[in-house]
Amino acid sequence: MAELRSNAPGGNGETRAVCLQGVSKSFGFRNVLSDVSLEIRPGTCLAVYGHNGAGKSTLARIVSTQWAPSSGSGEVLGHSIGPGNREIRAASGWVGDQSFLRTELNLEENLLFFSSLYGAVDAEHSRSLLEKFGLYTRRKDPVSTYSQGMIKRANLIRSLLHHPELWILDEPFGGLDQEGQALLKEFIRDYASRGRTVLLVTHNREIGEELASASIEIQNGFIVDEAGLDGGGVT
Amino acid sequence: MSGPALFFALIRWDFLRELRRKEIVLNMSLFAVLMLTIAQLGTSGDSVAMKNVGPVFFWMAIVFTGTVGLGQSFAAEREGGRLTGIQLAPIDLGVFYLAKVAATWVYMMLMSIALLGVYMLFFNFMRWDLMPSLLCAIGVFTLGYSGVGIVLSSMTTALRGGGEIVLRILILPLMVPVLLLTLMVSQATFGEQVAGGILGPPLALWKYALTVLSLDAIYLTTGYLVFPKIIEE
Repeated sequence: MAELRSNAPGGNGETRAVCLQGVSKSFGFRNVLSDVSLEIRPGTCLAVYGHNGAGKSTLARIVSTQWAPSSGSGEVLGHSIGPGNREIRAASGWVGDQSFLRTELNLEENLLFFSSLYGAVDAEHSRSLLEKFGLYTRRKDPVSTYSQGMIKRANLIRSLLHHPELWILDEPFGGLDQEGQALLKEFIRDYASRGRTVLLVTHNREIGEELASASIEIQNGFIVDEAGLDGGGVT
Repeated sequence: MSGPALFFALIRWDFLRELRRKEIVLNMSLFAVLMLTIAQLGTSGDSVAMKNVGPVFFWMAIVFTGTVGLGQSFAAEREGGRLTGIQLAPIDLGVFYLAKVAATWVYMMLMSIALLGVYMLFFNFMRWDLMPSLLCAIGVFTLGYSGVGIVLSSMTTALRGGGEIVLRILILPLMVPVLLLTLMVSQATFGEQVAGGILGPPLALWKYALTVLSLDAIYLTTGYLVFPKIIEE
């Protein structure tokens, strides 16, 4: 279920997982994101399309509180966006190009480290994720010995340790093999079906159309196209 | 997770990392020993020169090797976006700063103890009675040094090439007051007045400790407040 608006104020009293109003981001004189307004209902998997440098990762970073918008306002899971918002951070999981993993530790230690940061140490949940992503038998190996695909899987596990309400995935399929991609797709579908929200940044329309119930396309920082259907799927 | 629990958990993870990588303490210690070796060779045989400038070389070794350790300690946090991982966790980044300072302080103390052993050998300094006061001076000095250093390295390690040069340029002026006080207390810590006392009269250890601890408190409080803003920027 998604309601998307470009360049229009949102908010009609209903719960919104993400609500942005006139959000822009610039670096010096260069506008990377321009006047983006967007509403996402819980349970939506929103695909964000765009070419390299279009501004889609910038949007994801603003939603995840990594970056503050240069102008505009918004809420994520009922909390104001902006750096330092711990409520948003506690309730969202991020997967990007960097894994955040500590290469001198093994995967089990890494997961324990991140679980403790989130106050969500749950050995059973960690074990379950390790098994599902096929890394349980390698959990004692130093992360420095992992392949790129394994690091990607480990990164996905890390992002899910604290049961986030909002899962932000920035090009998550890169580096994954066929099996890993199928697994991730299954996870995304399952996640959204349980009423949680997924923000899927991808340049691959085929994957987006397969998974997302709504989509936007960003070009040169502007939302130029949007699609969302109540019954799921994408036009 | 409560502040103190998070603080100790972060220190524990830092120690585990250092235990596995063995780079910060080892690098600092080797660099410091090299400096003292050169100093010893330069003053060899001249007992007056050794007594006068020995403590200066000792503190120089701590200051310069400290910048190496600080740079490495924080650069490790930038590898693979680790710092962004910390930033995205729902924790007080000020506590992360304090934990990083505490861990770095321990590394600097370990390096200083190793350095002290070498200093005793090279400079024939067998004054065991002065060890408590010397360790006290090292402790309060390196605490403030770590506090200032972590704030500065959080900014400079983002620069091209790791920013070690910029770190050195920035940290030394900030540490000059403490460094001068540390040289003035050398009568109490080394049993010798440095360079004939041109810096001023000898300083009592308790006065030194109180003054430097007050400065440390200012450094650490400022760091606690400023560090999260630097990281979020």
